[in-house]
Amino acid sequence: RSDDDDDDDRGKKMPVRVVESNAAPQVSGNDPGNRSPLPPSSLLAAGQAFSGTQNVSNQQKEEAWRVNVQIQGVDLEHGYLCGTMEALNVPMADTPVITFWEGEIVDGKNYTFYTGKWEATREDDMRHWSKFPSFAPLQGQVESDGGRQLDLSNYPYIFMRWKEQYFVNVGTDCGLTIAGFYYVCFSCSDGSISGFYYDPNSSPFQKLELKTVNEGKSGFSFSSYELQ
Amino acid sequence: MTESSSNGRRNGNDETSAAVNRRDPILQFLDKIRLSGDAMEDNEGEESPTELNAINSAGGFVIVSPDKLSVKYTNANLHGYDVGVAQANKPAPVKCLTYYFEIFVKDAGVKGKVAIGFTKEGFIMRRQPGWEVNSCGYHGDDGNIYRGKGTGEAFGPTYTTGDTVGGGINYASQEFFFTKNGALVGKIPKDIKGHLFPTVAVHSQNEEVSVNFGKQKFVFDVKGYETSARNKQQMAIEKIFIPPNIGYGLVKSYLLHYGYEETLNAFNLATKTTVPPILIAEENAIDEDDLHQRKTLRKLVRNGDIDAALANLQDWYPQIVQDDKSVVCFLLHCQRFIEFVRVGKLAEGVKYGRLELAKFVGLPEFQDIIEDCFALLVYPKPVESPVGYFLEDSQRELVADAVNAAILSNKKDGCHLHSHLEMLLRQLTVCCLERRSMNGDQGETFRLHHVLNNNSTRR
Repeated sequence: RSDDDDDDDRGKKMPVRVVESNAAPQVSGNDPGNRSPLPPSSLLAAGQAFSGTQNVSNQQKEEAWRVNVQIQGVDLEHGYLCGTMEALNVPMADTPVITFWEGEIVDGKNYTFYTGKWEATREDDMRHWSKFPSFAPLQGQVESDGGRQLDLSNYPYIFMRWKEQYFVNVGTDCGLTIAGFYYVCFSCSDGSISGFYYDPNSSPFQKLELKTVNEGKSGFSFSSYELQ
Repeated sequence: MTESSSNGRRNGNDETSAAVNRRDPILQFLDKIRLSGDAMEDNEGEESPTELNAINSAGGFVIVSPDKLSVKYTNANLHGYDVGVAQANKPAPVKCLTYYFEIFVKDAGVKGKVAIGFTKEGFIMRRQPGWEVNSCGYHGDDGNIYRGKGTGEAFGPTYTTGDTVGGGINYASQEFFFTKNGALVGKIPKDIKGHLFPTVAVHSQNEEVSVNFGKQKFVFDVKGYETSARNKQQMAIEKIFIPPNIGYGLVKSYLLHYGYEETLNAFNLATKTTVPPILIAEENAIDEDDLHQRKTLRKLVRNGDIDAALANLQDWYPQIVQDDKSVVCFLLHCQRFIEFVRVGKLAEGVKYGRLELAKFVGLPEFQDIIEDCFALLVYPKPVESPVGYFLEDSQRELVADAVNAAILSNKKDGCHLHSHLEMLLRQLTVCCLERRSMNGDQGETFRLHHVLNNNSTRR
């Protein structure tokens, strides 16, 4: 016979980590009156979608994958954000491959320009950040004292590291690896993103370039005010 | 993310496989001996369901009988989540043409909500088969088929107390099929991949169902169903026209390859006198002496007259026995030893073994076979022992084939190691395996001895 309880809602929700600050603040002396180190940016918010390419060329071939990214959550107070990344037209996969990533925002309070993990040395850090033109004005200070004196809250670019945590729709034997991470630079003015994938076991400096996608905007936006 | 670096960096592999192919081709006969020692498994090692799984059945809703072949509903049917479900203890085997089982409705209870179907491991055991994705069920109360959602489709008749209902999977057509009281009810496409458990369900008071996984004869003639499925395929094959001279050519080359001189002569005569005469292209001029010699050697080996075979080999094809550590020499000396054992001359056998077989002891290719062969000495009745296969005619045949293969492979005009017919059969086997692999590794494959055995019973 037909089932009584036929109208099950089977929708699955994307898990978003409940943030606990397990990264000790790396820079002391924060301003108690300012809850978030960086001001909110309307284009770096949950629901915002981006689209572009990742260049995976190496000595044997030229290849680029189309990539879509969607921000799933942003917690500026803790310098945390997360989202999904979808790679299309990957030759060895017969479906688009989706991963879930978590990001660290270089805000001088929660995270600095030094990665300190994921097999990235200080030299690797400098090598990658310096590939972003927008990093040039900051480079001197970062090299000398790690950028402690920098006030990044007024800078029109946001620097981040994105680390993919797991594959969402394929198995780990899909022929792809998420062992590395991206150095990312986000432009607050137009929401464009560029990044470099770092993995000591893969070809270096694979470039990620994304722009915002605004047609049929997928997600929601809030406005926020603060009374001073 | 990026590509995993373990792809495509292996160049060393090609070299190792080439090295393997360059080994002495006669070594394969040693592998054949090793295979004789293993029992031929008909079902490729797959297990079949034999009873219900009493451990994961819907506890609290059903009781499984002590013989694990019956299930009875014990709850009060209040909603859609208190179905009493039981799965078989093993999933249906997949390396065959069909799988089939039957249920007998002992008591349709108050509401007759019996069901038969297939579900996967981890199925929610409080739901009817077919109400959840990756399951299917033929329900007795409405005769509908359920294939993954709560509403079903019209499929067949209802069924109740006293009915025998069967559920099956046809792996070739990738369909589920169901039967009632010996008649086919219908079939639906099987979109579910992976292993499936035969499943029964009861859902109202007093419902009781027993299950038959093949211990008793089925009411539905499932063998007949399989045969008609195979026949359909066979008819499609027979519609393909192949000129007769190709078939005859294969037979002729087979006879020539194995040195069946007299049969070949009779065959040639017959093909010339058929109407219309079959013209078979001659590939090379037949070397009559060689054919006669190979025939003689085969005859000697098959009669167990190894000394004569060795003597003739020394005269006719000395290069084959030049290397006295070659596989051919090993096989012949081994067979001589076996012939001593066969007639009970154990002392002479031991003497011969010390003389001729000792040099092979310690060589890795021969070690295991030598040990098994010497083990013949240990048993009072070697024929009935686990190594009794050495005493069968098939072993003599194998040695004869090896001698023949060694002679052919030594010829300058590059004879094949296998006859054309065998190469064709090998290709057929591989293609069938590949086709099955593309079918999710489900279904039958080509097994020569099955075909030969089945054909002989048809007469």
